[in-house]
Amino acid sequence: MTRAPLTRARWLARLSACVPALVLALAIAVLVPGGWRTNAPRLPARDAVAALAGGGDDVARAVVWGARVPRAALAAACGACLGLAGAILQLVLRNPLADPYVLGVSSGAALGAVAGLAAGASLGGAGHPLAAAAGAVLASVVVHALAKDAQGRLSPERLLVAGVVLSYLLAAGIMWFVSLSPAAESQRFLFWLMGSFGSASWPAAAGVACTMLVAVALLVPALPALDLLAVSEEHAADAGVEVERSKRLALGAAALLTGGAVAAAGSIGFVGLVVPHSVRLVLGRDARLLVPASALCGAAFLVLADALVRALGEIPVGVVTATCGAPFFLALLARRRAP
Amino acid sequence: MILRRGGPRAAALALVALASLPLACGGSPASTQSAPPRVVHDDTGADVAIPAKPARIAALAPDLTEIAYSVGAGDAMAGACDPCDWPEPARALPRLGPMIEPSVESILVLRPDLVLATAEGNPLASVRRMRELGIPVVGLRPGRGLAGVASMVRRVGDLTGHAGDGERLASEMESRLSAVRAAARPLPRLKACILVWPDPLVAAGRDAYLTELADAAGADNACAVADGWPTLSREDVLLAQPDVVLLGIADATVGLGAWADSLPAVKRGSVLRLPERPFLRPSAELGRAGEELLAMLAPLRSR
Repeated sequence: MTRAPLTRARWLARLSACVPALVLALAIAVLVPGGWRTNAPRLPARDAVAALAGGGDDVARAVVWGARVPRAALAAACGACLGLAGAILQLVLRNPLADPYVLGVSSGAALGAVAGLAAGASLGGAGHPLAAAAGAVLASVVVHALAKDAQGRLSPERLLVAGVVLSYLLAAGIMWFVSLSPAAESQRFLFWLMGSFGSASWPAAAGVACTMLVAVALLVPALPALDLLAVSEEHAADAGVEVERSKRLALGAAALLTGGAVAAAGSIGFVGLVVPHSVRLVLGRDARLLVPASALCGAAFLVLADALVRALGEIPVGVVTATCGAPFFLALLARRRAP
Repeated sequence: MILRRGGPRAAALALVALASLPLACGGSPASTQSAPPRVVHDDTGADVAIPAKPARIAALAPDLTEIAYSVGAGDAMAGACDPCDWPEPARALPRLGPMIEPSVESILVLRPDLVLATAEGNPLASVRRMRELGIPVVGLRPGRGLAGVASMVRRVGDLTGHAGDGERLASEMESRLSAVRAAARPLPRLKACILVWPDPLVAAGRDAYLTELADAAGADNACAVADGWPTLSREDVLLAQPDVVLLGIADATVGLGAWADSLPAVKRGSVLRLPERPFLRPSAELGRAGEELLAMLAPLRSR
């Protein structure tokens, strides 16, 4: 596999090309009023600018700093998590269809969340994100245990198969809850499953951001190894990579990232699949660039998608990510035929 | 069922709680009333400070909107959820998003001094987030059956500063229903299936207000296999052999389908459509609904 060497300067130049996209997305999310379809009360963009600059009246400040900014922050954090997780999984599993949801982690989080919603009061207010995190951890442990081959190594094939089959089992569990619950409640489950940032708060955004920092700390030492692993495990081993340790670190980080995002905002599809592919098509396949760029672009994409969610009147964000992401990606695929 | 659930998604993840930004949000909602504010204890367990006579009310569910207008709070209505389309003036109100995800931002801009939310459809997470931002949200869990509807009329009347009208409407509804019950008592009982959706088949359950309404009008709900709104299979309905099928489906183009043609009630033409008003939204109009149902059932008793 031949590839132009990526110097530090070029790495930085290409990575920083993603930053304006994120800044633009954040600006749109904070300034554009919501509820275009209906005659919703709207804050004029002028007032939003004033509030952003520290002025404005109480209402403008509450809308910008209490509703929009935490919401954009949560969307950015979740988008970064899902973009990162997708990029890592596609590299480690060497499978272009891998996304944050193939490991069963997201289904585990979703089943945990739905069970938490259904158990309700007994767990108190914090029940459902805690339950989601517990579900994510449990699913991840089970998949990792099943994915070990006879030599105790993590096999990508086993990991994928175990993850996908466990996802089906967990999804069946979710559907049990949905079909046995009263209509209003099952509607809430389904809505949650499609994802939402509507009730975003600073602690939620901070929680996801912290989860991401932990995952990044695990990832940074494994990043050069990921680049080699993406070619082949033998190749990586020849180059002196501790293959099993790197895989464990990377997959642990991916589970953490997915669990964090799903627990905070529901299972938002498509970001983790399409963002790393788009980045690869535009910026190349070097893992040292692909992984951080996927985080930045994932954040920008989800912030923009959520701005559209607000504009369209609070439809589930998963609907927007798929509706906008799929055509964008297909167009990109059609234009760039080079590997 | 929903308000109580959910919760701040933050908690599991809040490894570090950011110091909240100084938000003078909400401030003191403008109230033109001189009466002192009061604190109400709502069904989510929160104590909410609201004016004695709120001047800017937002309702996040169609039934709450309708009841608020019926108790005379129409002039104070400032916003409603997207599907809150009744009565007529409610259609012109600013829209506050779908029931399942009210727009916190739109509600902040609206500056309501009372937000009425329902446990049947509004998520607790949004209710809590709105409260954190200083919006006075009162979460209401509808009670069971007709008594639950009457109690909701009284509560909405009380919360909106129209306690007298709420009480009057609720007792009028109760006395009309008592009269219906008395009129139906000497009549032969009918066996009914009350279906509110054809595919999947959803029926009014044991504690549903439609079941109690039919009971008052002299019809027993033979398809009430559980509380709430249970899902049935077609054979449940075929085996129940109802004398009458009550279709509580607002969309008149939606019917039961050919499978039901073998039902004696369908053959006899004993299928009654319950119009959306006054039947399909729980409000004080249910007194009139009871009277109409009694009249609708009368010709069927002779078949």
